[in-house]
Amino acid sequence: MSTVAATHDTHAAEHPSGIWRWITTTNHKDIGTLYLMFSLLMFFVGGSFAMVIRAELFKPGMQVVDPVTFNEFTTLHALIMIFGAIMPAFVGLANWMVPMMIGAPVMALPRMNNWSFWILPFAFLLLLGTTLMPGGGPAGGWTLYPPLSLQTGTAFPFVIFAIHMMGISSVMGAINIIATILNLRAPKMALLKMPMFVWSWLITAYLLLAVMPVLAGAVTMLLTDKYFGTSFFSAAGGGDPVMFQHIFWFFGHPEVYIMILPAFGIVSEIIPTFSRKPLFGYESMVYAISSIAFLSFIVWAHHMFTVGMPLAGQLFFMFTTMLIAVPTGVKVFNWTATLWRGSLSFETPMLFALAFLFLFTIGGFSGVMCAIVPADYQYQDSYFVVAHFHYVLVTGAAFAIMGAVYYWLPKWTGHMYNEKLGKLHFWCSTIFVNVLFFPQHFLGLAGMPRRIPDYPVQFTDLNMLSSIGGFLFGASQLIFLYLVISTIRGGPKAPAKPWEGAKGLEWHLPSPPPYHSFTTPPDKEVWEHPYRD
Amino acid sequence: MADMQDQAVSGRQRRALRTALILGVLALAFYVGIFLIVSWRHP
Repeated sequence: MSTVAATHDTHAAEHPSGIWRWITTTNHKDIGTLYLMFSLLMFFVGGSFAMVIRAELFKPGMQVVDPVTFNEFTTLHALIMIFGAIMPAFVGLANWMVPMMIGAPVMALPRMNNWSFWILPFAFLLLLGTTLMPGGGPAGGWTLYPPLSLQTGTAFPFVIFAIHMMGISSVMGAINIIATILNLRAPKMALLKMPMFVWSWLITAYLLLAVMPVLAGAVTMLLTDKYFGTSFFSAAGGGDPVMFQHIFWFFGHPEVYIMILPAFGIVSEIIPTFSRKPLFGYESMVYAISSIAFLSFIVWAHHMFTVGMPLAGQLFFMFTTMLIAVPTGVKVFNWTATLWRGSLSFETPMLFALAFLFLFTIGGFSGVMCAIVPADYQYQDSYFVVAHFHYVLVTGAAFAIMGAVYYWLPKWTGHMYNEKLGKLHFWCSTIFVNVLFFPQHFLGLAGMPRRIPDYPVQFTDLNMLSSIGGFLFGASQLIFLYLVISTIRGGPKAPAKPWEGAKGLEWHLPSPPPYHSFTTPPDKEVWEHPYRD
Repeated sequence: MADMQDQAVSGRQRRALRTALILGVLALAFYVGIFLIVSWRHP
């Protein structure tokens, strides 16, 4: 370990200080921190929209906001959580960890890295600013289906521009991650020797690269339909609004995997560490992620079964969707096999990884239910779907991000977090997230549609329960905020490797790591660790 | 030795730039491609 630490330089003294450091930084750790801080901010902004939504749905009738504002809030909640919270959090984790995990000193394209972050705050200021424009912000749902989305007022071109900026940022980030992983790995580190988090991000970056331009194309066509007289999606002009749905979901379904594959990578790092065993079936995990990524391109129309399509189309999309359960099952069983007879300990990151294992699987199962065409006619546009994707994205993606923060926070800050508070945050989050989302399955099955501000009285009890869970889940995240801030500011000193069972290259660096991680690539003996059985 | 190391680093940076360029062109091609597909579907 000392040999690696000895190779660090002292460039930290050369960079500017204060706000200028953060604006001009090209350092992967600084940019990772910026992404993570931005994501935390957006998590609370998007979360406050969710609190208003749950307050409105606490009981039947209109009490907090008018229906148009409610629709704006549901739309903005989704856009902010997807593009502002979950995705930047994963990009932040990639920026911090990928170079350290592969033995690189920097990201391959540091200036582009700076640019891809600094586009984001402006994109979201623009998006949030639309709520103050005449006619209000976007209110047609994050899917932006025409002709509904074309009824947006003055805000429409600004929303489209904001989405373009987010897309450009994501594509630049993806290019950077691929270029880094393919070119800056430690000498002799073969692809099948890389940590699982790096693998998951390599595949995610290809997905981003393939689908973000498709979304950009689709929303550009919406713009030209509204302002330049084209009729790509206008039936009156010979176009087809359903075509937009096909294009949107060709982007949208891989987008779901963009938000979950890095989570798979994180869980594959945490579970072996706290089981004190190598990851079971390393290669099959890599092939499973690759299979999921491939299948994600040929399942998109399962979001549109009720729109109408030929029987052959319905069968094709039903079976391909069900096929995804196979590689996902491989992963779940491999994590379980890693736990089997391991020397387990239950620190906060492990608790979040275990909660992920159970609760993401619930979301996976309800996904298979939605894949069944005749059953989907019942579930479509109901709260069952809302429950399904929140289990995937909150107890899946967000829980993995929180687990990752607890896992790597001692490395980033050089301080240990308060384990008792970490566990309190975990238990509050896990209990209340289930109180929040589990009843929504029953609401959906009973026929409550999504995206409504009011509902018949028979849905009252479960909505009240769900709202109470929502408020408490939201309040629990203040513990997380306190923990992150207090750990950055101080706390017991963290050793280079705070977790006994941790094996990756990042643990060979001191905590916090030096400004440039590996100026000399680490030797094979340093990075070759038992990822395989 | 230091010279060889510098050459290796600049070689890796050149390769990284080439990778980025190829990927950037690919992303642009997807953007243009979606217009072509929609126009072909509804001329």
